[in-house]
Amino acid sequence: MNKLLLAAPAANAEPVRPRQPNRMLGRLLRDKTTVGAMTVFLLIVAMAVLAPWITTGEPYSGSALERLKPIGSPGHLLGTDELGRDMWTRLAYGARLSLISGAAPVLIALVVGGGLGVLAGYAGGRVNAIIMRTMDIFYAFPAVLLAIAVCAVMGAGLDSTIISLGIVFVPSLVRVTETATTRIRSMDYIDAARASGVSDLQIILHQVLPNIIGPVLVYAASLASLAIILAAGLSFLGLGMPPPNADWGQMLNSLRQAIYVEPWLAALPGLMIFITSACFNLMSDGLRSAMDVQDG
Amino acid sequence: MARTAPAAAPSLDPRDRGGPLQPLLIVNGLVKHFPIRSGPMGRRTGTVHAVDGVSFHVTKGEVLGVVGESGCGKSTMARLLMHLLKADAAELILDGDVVGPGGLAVGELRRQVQMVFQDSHASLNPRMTIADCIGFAPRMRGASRREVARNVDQLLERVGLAPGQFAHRYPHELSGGQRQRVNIARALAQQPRLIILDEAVSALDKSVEAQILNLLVSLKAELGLTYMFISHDLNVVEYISDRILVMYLGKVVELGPVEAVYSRPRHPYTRALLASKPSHDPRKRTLAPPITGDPPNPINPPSGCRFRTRCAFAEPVCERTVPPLAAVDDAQHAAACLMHQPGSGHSEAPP
Repeated sequence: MNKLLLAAPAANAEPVRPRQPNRMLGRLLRDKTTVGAMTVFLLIVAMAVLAPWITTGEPYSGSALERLKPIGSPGHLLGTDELGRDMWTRLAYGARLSLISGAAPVLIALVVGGGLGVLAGYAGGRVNAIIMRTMDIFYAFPAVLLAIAVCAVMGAGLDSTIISLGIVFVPSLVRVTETATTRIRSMDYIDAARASGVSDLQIILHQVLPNIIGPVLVYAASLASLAIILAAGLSFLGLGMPPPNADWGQMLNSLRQAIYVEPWLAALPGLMIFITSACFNLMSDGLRSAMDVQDG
Repeated sequence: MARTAPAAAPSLDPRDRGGPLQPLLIVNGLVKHFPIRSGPMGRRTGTVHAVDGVSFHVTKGEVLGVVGESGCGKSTMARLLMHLLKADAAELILDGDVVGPGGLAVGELRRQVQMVFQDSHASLNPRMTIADCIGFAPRMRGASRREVARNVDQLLERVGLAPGQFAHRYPHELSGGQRQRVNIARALAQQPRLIILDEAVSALDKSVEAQILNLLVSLKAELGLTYMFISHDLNVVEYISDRILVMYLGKVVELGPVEAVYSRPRHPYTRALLASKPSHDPRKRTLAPPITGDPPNPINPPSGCRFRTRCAFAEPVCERTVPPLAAVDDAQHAAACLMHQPGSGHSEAPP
């Protein structure tokens, strides 16, 4: 045995291919579906941002003489609504509110829920139990009911939509983040980092976060599509933006009466909601498969 | 194979305080009981006696081998020493300084004592390059980027990995042996005095294991390190250790110089353990199992001597008396067995 031990040569590695930088982004851009979804999404964002310049710029003024013009009418390419307001203008302006009410609650939930989840997962024990059992209480309410209740208390408006949806999303983000963090926390490299006398905050920032940010972002992106739909639902119920503000859910609500007169017109806001939430879903799928490869 | 008593290492280390005769680490009465909770309220329904009153010391410059079956508390002990787990009771003295409030800070202990884990894959962050893994702690302590990079290159070279080839690769691109070299380099980055190797070579295949063992031996000589070498592999422990500590169900059953323990094992468990070691000689096959059954459940360990349920020499007295770890033969060699305690009441005991 002794001879064998002493005869063993030093390790030498075969040369390897140089590492290509930013592999994840490369994989993301090679995925045609994801690139398509990103393009459509960027077009919608551009439509929202550029609304004053690419539309009539007057989403609130209409003519009683031009009510419910069908799609393709001269001067009103996408027709007019029940008060004679240009649909294209209102859809573009509506994108502003709908995108904000889709993204803002998710960002809020990402910060609050992600923070609580990392804390619960990293600290474990009693801290974990307190945070997770509190979240269980929120889980006991159906999401939509909770959002409606919060909106009803705070009154209709953009801020109450954002806050109520944020509250709805916090528990699930806490759970996803906590699960991911708990898994990472049990890895030996976290113990190795702790054993080198590095502070917990530094370990969380440099060792835990890079490992959980992928799955959490994927989940958050899928929540954004849900947020747009829920926000539209709240405005449809009259709990979101009050009229005359243009927002897709509220437009859907007011055009509902015209559904037998101009069905295609009435479907337009719904179509926008569908396209946008589909974009978020496809992008989150693409993100997931692009991030998946490395762990092996 | 050097089998001389651990020669006191020349005290080159400026951090040396107590001189060569002061043990590097003294552990007194280390206890860790894990509560078992069940039900919605988390009621305590039982206790796992993982480590139950372990005391020993590590001499400067030696290799202390720790052996025992899986589940005997070896790894828990390592984690307790690193303060990765909170001990229920313990007194740690690092080179004369008591660790704890008023004494040596845990952070300082963690700089002087480092650990290498068994799972080379799980102990490296998959999203960090090799260089970042090794340089993480120095960097977090505020060392400059250039300083860390230079240091990392030196460390990689020292553990036998070409810096140009490895520094910018990711852990999953390396083999198990290479990864374990990286783990050793990361431990060395802290300039430790004691390295706890928790089954550090167990997951490697035999030829790679031999390379890593050679690396450990040469690093020890070069840097004047002290090792605590935890393993279940009796051959490897015999090769590398100066002294050996045998654990059974959270207790030390035998402790002594490796040649004394291997040639004259005094505890029946050590004897059984050594008899289970496969022989290289095909004519000396192990025919009868030297020990039968599984270790008893550490949730309800047997009263008195914990080994009595599997011991061929167990007598009623073993049920009543917890055998203390006491010197046998000479002061260096100790065993916790009533058969070697004068006047213990065991029929085999000396009067």
